[in-house]
Amino acid sequence: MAESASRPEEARPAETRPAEEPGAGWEPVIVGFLCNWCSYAGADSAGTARMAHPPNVRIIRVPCSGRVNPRFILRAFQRGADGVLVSGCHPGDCHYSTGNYYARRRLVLLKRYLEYLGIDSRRFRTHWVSASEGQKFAEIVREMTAEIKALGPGPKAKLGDLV
Amino acid sequence: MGEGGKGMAPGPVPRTTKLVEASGLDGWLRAVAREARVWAPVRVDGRPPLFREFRTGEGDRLDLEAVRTVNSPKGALLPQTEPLMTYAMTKDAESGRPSLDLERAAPGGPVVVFGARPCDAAAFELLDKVFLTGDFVDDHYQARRVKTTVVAVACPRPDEACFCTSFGLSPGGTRGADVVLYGRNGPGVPVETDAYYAVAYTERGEAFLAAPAARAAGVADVPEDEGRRLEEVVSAFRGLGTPLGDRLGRIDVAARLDGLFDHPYWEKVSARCLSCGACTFICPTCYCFGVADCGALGKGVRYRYWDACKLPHFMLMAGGHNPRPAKSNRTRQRFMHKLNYYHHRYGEYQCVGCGRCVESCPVGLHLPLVAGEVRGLEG
Amino acid sequence: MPRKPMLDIERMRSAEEALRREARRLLADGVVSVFLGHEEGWDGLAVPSFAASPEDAERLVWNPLCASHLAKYLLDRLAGDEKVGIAVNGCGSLALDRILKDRRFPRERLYVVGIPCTGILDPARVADLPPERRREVLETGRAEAELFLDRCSWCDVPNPVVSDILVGEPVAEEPVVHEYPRAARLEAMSLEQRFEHFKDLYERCIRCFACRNVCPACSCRECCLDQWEPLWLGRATSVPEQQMFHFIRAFDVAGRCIRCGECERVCPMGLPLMDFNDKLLKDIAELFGVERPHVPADVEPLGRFDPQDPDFEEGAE
Repeated sequence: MAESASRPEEARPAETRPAEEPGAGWEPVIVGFLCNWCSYAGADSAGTARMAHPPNVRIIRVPCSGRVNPRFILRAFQRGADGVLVSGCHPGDCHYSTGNYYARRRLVLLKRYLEYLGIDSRRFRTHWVSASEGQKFAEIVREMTAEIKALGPGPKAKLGDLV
Repeated sequence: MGEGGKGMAPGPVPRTTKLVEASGLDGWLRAVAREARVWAPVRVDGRPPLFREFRTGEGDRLDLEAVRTVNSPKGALLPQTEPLMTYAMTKDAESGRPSLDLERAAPGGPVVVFGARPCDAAAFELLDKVFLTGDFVDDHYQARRVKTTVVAVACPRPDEACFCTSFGLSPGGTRGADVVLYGRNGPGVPVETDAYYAVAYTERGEAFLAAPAARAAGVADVPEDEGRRLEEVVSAFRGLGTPLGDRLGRIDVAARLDGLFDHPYWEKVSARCLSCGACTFICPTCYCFGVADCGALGKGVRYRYWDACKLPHFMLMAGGHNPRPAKSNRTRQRFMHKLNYYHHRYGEYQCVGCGRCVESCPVGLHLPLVAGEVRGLEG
Repeated sequence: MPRKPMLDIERMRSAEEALRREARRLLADGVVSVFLGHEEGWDGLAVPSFAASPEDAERLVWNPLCASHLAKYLLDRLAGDEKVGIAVNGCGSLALDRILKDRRFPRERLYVVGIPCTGILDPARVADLPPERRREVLETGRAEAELFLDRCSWCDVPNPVVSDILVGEPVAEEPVVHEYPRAARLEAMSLEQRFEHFKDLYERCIRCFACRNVCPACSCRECCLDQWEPLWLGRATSVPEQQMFHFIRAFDVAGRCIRCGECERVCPMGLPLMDFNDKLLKDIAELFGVERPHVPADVEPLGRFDPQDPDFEEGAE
């Protein structure tokens, strides 16, 4: 499989480790696909400005929101993500001119499609965050974490294991 | 071979014979399902009948009326996905040395295959030859097999895709079955029957009929005055012909195929093949599989999964070489395997004439077609 | 409004005559080295045919059971520079156009014989008829709407969109309002009901790849579903892997699907696979205003964009 044993379990902070059983202390895992040029830098500026936000988002840096193949998102849910966030440059600001426009078509379609397949589409969010919008990024993470917490654990439980 | 048709040898000797009301079957199945995993032909909401693990709580309905289920029951013995072992990397707390823990997947409890057609039951014996004989015994298969009871149902009305008789089998055959249910009204009549004779041919079958679940479901002794009727019914099922089998006659083409490996026929017949795995996956006797790992964060599962010689990547090697790059190579492989290689190795054909490939192939490229056509080839 | 298809057997017979004549000529004159059509196969079924000589052309048929599209077989003939003849009706030409628009076969290596079409029956549905009725349907063409292929009910492309020559006069074209009742029915269910509906499908699927292999939009040189590195799709047939399989199959052809329904027709397990594709077609129409997504455009809906598209952050709803 694609994953390797690169990061031992204990290296992760205890409070963000996915709990086996939902209940007291359960913390959702949110996978965030952030584009290298805007949103990743936005998350970074949230950090350098010392804005507090929940540590539930695991960031995967991608060159462009257009890089995010919809199947990444489904796979994240299947592997245990309780929420997935895709964030890229604002329309017109794409480093590659148009990548985010293509992503928009695809992901808007995907959002509806996930709901159709029986995966609550509130668990999947898409945003525009520029490099200077640390505040906005922190806000999105706060909001999304609270929403997913209210929704409870993601679809992995009803999907079952990969084998 | 050779248990059906005219002038057939007498069938195996029944060890026990019981009678069960048709209305009692469902209860029997549910009682059995409490102690074993039961595979049965089921129908849900009018969708195509399926042979799968019977789900007692989910509206599954036993369907003994369908001539055949769309898939075969082979998954009961050879699951489409079967974990073989789990692995985990751990680190010794003191020395910090990593180690690899391997654990063999548990084979699981008893299995009852209930309501297989005689062709499908016979197919289990063909799988047995592959997995249990020769230099290598597949212990995962074996572990499941020794705990498996096969209850077959004689076929009252073989349809236009049925050709088990072409391979010496019969709609009333007992091969591979521990118990055979024969509709009390005999073959030919409308499929619904009020009761079945349940005949055990093996020790396992005998035990199955004597188990508490059977008694609770009303499996009873055959009234003494029905002995003659029972014999007539069994013999009528055994002598029953099959529409396609009658058309084809006996299929015996192994020797014919010996010289046809390089025949242009394969190129011609395979042109319309879609290179899908439908025919192999629904086939009760195809058994090819692959092995793969699924893991994350230092632990995972090694499993095997059905693979198919018809799929283009089946033979793809690590270096990128594909020994069977063309559809003609793969089509030849499938039919040569069934009608020639297997015969050379085990002395019989790897086909039970269930008719599923006839029904399922979207482009009409199936075993009876090829078996019939190779007879007429020159070369 | 769904269209009410009607078979015209006389028209089919004369098209069959003309098709044979044309194929014979093309093969005899060496214009093409092989001609893709249909011939009679097992039990009267029409199966794809690959005529390589004028004599072979005599076997070609054109009848109400010629459901298979032939364009996908062109991929078997990519090597070499021989010219290939192919017979297409309206929807068959959409399949061909898909292959051409995806640049998977050079147009200049094709000679396309187009057949204006009055409808095709679903061979499986015809096979289920009592023998007497079956014969009557095939001889007279008097067939109930339920016996037709699903795609006939919304067909607004009875005449081939690609052809070098037509056999028979064009059929009158009627506009059709494209509706997706199956997707709409599922949308009306609860999230959990839909999940269970598809879970049942995943559990029945044997992953034989017939749906992918027959699909005219699935023509990648190497399919991601076959790759090992990266392993997009695990070989296990668990619910999540089956979900991934069907997700990739349908989503990767979103915007290129011609709604032929061949995936569903060839499925040995009888699975309602168009439940996936119909939803994507429906949403593409609703979101991006592509009203006839089945007719291949030069640039497919997901291969382009509009700055005014429904926005990301507000979601699609």
